[in-house]
Amino acid sequence: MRTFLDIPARVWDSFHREPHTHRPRRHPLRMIDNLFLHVHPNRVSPISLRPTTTLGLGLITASFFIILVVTGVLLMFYYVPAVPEAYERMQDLIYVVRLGRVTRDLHRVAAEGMVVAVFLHALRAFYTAAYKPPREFNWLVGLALLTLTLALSFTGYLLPWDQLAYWAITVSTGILSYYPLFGEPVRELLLGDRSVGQEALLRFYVLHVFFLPAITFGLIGYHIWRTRKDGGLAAQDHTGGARASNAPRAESRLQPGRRSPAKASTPAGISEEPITAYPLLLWIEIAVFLAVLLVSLGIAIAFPGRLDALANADHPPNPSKAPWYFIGLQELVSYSAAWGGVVVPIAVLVVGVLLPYVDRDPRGAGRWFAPERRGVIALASAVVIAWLAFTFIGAFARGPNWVFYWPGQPWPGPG
Amino acid sequence: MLIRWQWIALVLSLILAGALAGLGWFESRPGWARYQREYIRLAADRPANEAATESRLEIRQIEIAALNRVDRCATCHLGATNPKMADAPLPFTTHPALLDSHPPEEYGCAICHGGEGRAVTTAEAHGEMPGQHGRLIPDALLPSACYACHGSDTLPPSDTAVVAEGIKLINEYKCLRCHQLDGVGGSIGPDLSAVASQRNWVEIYAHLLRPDALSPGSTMPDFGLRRGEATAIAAYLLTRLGPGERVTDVMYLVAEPALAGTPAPNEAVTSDIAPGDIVSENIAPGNIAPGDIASENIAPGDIASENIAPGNIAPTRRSYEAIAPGYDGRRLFEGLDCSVCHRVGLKGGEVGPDLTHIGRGREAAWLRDLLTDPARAFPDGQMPAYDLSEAQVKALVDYLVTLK
Repeated sequence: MRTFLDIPARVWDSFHREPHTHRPRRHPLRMIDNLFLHVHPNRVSPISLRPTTTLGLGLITASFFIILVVTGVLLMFYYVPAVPEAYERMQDLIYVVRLGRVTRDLHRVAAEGMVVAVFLHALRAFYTAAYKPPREFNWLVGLALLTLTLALSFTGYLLPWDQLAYWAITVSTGILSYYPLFGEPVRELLLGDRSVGQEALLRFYVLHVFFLPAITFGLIGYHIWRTRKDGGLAAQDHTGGARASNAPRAESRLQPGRRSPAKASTPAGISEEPITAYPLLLWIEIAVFLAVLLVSLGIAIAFPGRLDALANADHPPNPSKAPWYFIGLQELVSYSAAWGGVVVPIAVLVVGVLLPYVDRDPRGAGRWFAPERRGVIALASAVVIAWLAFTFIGAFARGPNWVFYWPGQPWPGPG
Repeated sequence: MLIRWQWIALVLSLILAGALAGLGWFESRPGWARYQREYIRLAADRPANEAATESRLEIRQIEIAALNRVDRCATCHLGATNPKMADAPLPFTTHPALLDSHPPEEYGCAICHGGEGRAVTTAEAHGEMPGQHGRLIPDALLPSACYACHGSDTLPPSDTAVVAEGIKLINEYKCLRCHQLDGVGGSIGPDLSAVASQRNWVEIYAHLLRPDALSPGSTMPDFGLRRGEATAIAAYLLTRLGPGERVTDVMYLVAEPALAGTPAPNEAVTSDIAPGDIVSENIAPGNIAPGDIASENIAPGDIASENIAPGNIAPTRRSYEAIAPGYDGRRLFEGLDCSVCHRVGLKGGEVGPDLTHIGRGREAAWLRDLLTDPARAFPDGQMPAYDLSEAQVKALVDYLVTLK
């Protein structure tokens, strides 16, 4: 009898490749010996675990990604990337498929949430100067992931094949044609045609459900692994104790003998000694994931997405707006196609890529809004605020023919 | 620290489990199930009713493969084919006549009634959610559904009277000066050949009553249509479906009589409609409820007076010769509806140039040439030739040169 009762425990042990034990000294093996857990560090600084250090934004972004993969696979059971079946499938999904509407809305909310979270995560990395050596390359990986997140959201935007989807993609890909030389060929490569149609739907679908998620998944793994190898979070560089990971010391790649002046800023009262990550880190992750899922589900139920009329190439809605994360760009383009559509975005991108290779001054690394970085922080904040303002104007203050209306001011017509 | 996070995870997972359970509970009680229970109760009151034995709650759908349609209307409209439900309230009542010749299992519902056949909530199925195209067609406009497939040849004129009235008005208001139908007409406004597959009746109706409501910045003039007129024109435009959208496109063919083409120039209209009785009723699109149309006084009997077949609807010949003799240029200007396109002072459209000060810039001779043959004076212009008599041209020119 006892043989049978012990089966669950034996399965559990066999999963871990080690007999279960509560001896803390064995805990690191739990992480190391497990394929799914080994991206975690063995030991982690309490500073890294403090919510104010990172606001948990990387974890939140990853949680959104998991929700997106699961709901996305569920949606794939119903979706057909064809004109006009795609739209009919969407109708069936939200009208009659059991839990179909909430699955779709959860996917939509998590996608928007991931875009927001990945932006905030990048801002956190900037404002805490986490991109400084030796983490320059991981900043680039992060930028690539930000781009991939936008691309994933953008390709998914077309799939419902309603008027909103069709014209948002038409407007956004239209911005590409302002780029000299490569703009038009890239646009046609993306759409498979001169305008958005069956070819574009198929291409966006393949990109959305296979190509981009596969790359994103791989890069997320690399991003997390690299974070660990680069010495954990920048915030814990300044702890006096042993380092949290087996990575080479960050300082060893800086000028020899130069220690970070930020050491003194470590607040008293928190032990700087790294602690074993298992199982605390896992529980934190589980809690954050559950919170993200719960909030997404609440928003998905409270604010169901709409499905407009079937896409119609002859009847652009007025105004046609890009997805919200490109509305700032659309607003810029409305002032000047060349400056707003080409020069400004490329300049921002180039500065973002070069930032860690230009700004190598280690002062302020790992601290929020370090006063030593006043200049660069002010500059970047101005860009972020301007971008938010353009997005806000484009989203809420632009009516038919892209004419300015105060938010709440009635547009001519039924709106 | 560890215990705290474990508690947080536990509480969150309990809330999540509760939320999922609630979701499952709501999902298992769809709104249509309430209608089906009510129907079963009603049917049970009627003796010897077969439907009374049917008690399974389920979505009922009709698939029409040829049209690629799925209609789930019968999920709530349960008594449509049950003659015993004639006295039952909506949505359970029996469908009035017609279903013998149009069996729903073959045609579905939305092909005539509009709406979003795949949806199973009232607001979504009737197309009342923002952005939806398939809007339930009100009774007053239903003749367009008959006309879309049958034309007027095989139907009694009273059945399609509102459509015939619409054709008459389209000719009278000269819609084809700007709009195209099947390749006939002007190019200023959009082609309306398949307008019903792009716009629903609410949009068409609202656009007719207040053109800038649907298309902000539209140059289409406000013709000051009465609601009955807008209803009739909308009724015709609703028959303009796209290829493959008619039952007749895929099931059998009935030749559709062609609409009278562009009105011949000399058949232009004078205004025996006094300006007073077409003053637009200041209709904001928001307050056009479906009920408005039903309340209009366009009972079929009203319009069926003449035997109207689309072929023989020539535009009404209200000759502006009536304004003669001694042509008053100003009255002629109004009678020809020049102000539909041209503005004088505060009144008039924006399709053509503003004529408020035309007398300052143009000589009488130049104006005379233009009015005689617009195509020669402005080869690329959009102004149609009106084939005016010499006396009429002179009267108009005499009026125009006074505009300074």
